[in-house]
Amino acid sequence: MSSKLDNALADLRAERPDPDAKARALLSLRAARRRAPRLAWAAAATIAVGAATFGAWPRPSYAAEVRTLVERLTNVANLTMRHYRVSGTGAAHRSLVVESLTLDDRTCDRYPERADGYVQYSDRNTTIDVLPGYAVREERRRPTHRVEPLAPGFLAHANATNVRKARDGSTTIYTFDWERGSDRGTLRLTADAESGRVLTVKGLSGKYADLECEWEYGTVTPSQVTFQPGKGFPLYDLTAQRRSFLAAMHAHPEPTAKDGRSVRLIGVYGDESGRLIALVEGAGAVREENRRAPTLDGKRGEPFAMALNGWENGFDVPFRVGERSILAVGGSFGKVGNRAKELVVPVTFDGDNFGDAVFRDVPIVRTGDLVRLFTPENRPFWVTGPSGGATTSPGHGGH
Amino acid sequence: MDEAQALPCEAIGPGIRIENVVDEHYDDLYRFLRHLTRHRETAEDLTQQTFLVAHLRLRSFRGDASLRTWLHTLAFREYTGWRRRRRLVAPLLDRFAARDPGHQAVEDGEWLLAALHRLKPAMREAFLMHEVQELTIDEIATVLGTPVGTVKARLHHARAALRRSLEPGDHP
Repeated sequence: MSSKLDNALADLRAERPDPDAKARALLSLRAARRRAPRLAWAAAATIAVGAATFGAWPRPSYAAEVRTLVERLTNVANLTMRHYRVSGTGAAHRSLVVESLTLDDRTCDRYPERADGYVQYSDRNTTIDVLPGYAVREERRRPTHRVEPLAPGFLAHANATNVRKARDGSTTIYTFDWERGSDRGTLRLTADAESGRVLTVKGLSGKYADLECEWEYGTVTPSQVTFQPGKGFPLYDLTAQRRSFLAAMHAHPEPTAKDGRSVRLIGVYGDESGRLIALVEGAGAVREENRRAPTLDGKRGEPFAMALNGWENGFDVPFRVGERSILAVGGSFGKVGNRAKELVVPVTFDGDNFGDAVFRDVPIVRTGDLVRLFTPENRPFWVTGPSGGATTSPGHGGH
Repeated sequence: MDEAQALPCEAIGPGIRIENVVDEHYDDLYRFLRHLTRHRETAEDLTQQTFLVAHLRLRSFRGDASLRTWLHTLAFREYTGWRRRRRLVAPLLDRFAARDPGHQAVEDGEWLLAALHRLKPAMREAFLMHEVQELTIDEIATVLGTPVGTVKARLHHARAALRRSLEPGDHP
């Protein structure tokens, strides 16, 4: 290859991390390694789980809500393409074509409203993020398709400050400052006064002083942006499900006890992929090599685990939610219904041995995807703080 | 680094200590993820997450591939998960910045990264693994879970695309 490419490759190979980053990674590993005391338990019993806590799932579909959203997009942001040019080159770039919008009707979920104000609808491949005045579509392995910003959304995402607003005929002119890291500057945005659509953005000073962009809006037939939910569209309200999960942490179902040890079944969750987790209070850590799946109505699943735990070397350990210390025992079954006639959950007995806890007539909370429900940002949803570190403290078993 | 030295040297796999693994491979994986994500903080997060996963699974590491290849496989999974999850709502200005010749970084590495990120992800990933991470084609096939021929094809197309981008007037 050319010397230019060789030089570039040499540059990339020379990339080095922040000197403290490695230490932070090691520190997080140490935090994740704190051990939890092991408890043992074995019993067979029937337990009534707080079905009322969970209600009946799936809840009413969110298809209507998504339809409303899409209708709004077609009405407000029926953009077919955007052009922009950068002064100096004169080149115009086309960067957007709205295509049909589809969501997998088996796995689509509604995400909670997040701190940044977004509500998110998503199946495994397509995500729609909704923010007032701004909507975005993402599709895996394909270029991003962005539904056009309106002025308020643009200003919000540019972290605009010192916004000055003036009316000029049919347009509204916003002049604002922005800052990101060491970059800063002043921009001027013009928007259609009636629709709020951004028409131009021009740099006045600072980093993007030469920037000059303009948008062209084409016409779109509503059928170009369509949403076609399947029959019985199973959308799940993850916000409500998470709320229910946390509420269950305050419930105290009757414990099942034997030989002075006791266990409580806090809840059972199943998803569209046929995975199930039983949340048990009172069980101890399980060695990875001894991990066993529950048995659902006589069928033994394949072991399935989620990163809910504070990891301990070689063990699945209980995770903590408030005062509760819960062990998640998971399995893949191919298909999971709304109720189990009999659920057998293996729990720890003296570390390497197991006892089976048998629960009958157990309601199963159905959701689209267990991982998305419990770890939406790659960590348990009830855990706050910086991302990337150890997520939960190891628990302490139960009684 | 004092924290790192204070860690107990706990053996996780046969003869493998996680501290040693982090020490030896952190820079390597970080560089890999940094170039894939083009974002320093994200790369740090994903690198850290990769080692957490490695920590969890190191006992099950069978040695079918080299430790380095295995770690790249875990890192690549973290990256693909991140790519799937992330919201592509980078402010509009960032896009303009990447194309603004008046402000584009002039270093060769930045130029190459920009060119790579105009390629299809599969081509970019294969190219970075081979040319920057210096993995063999067999190792890349292991990481990606694809046939060797597929890797070769992706590399061929990536190189061809980069050569085209080297033609005069097509890059700053």
